[in-house]
Amino acid sequence: MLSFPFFFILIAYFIFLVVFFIFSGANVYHIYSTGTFTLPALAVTAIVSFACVSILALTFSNLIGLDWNTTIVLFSDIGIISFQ
Amino acid sequence: MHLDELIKIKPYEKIVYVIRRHWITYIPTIFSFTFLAVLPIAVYYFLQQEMPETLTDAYYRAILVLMLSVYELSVALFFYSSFLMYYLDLMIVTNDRLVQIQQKTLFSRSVSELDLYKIQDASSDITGVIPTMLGYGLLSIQTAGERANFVFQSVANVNEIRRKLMHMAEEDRKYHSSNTVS
Repeated sequence: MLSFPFFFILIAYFIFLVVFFIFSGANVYHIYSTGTFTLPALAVTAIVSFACVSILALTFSNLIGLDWNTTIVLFSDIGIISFQ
Repeated sequence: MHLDELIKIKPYEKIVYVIRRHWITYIPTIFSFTFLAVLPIAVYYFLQQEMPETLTDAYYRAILVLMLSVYELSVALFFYSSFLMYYLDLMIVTNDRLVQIQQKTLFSRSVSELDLYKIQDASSDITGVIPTMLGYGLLSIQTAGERANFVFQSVANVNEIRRKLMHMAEEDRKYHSSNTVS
């Protein structure tokens, strides 16, 4: 049995977001540094940025109101995942 | 930054062509990523049928939302990176030289240069129904000496570019030979 607070999952998600933003920044920097910030590149950047902002907004709107101090229990007698 | 700065253009030089792979060759990638992006809809219906409690319980739902978010953001990031691989692969032809930039991975890029007068031969190869209809294909440029040939895939208007390139190479050879004689 393994238990930890539910907000640990949120911390893991934030670590993913940090990596995500580093790579996204590297991508945009590549376009800028290679002098290819043209209309097609700008359009794709805008579309991808819009998609990412929408995903983040939807994610956070779905996470409002949860008690993040709830303990998550893995491999207990009740099941693989249970909450206390 | 502008392309002029990237290739450190000389005062007498001007960019004649900026060649990229034909946009149609990127369409399959767009479809692949679109498929990957909508794939969770199938997972949603599967969960609705087989494990409905995962969608109703707030905590299970939160875990699913976070997993979905990680998945969709990763798809978006990989799509953008693949676009970069496509868009940053380019060949710049000026009235003096040819610069080929190959974006191999996100942090790996190779830049090769060739003076136009060193071009020995250029050939174009159009294979397939769609390339024939749209006029794009393989452009290979043979160089003098031991240098590897320049090869560029899926070049739009490849025949016209090959002709123009050979003409420019001839002009540049004449210019260089006249300067050597005088």
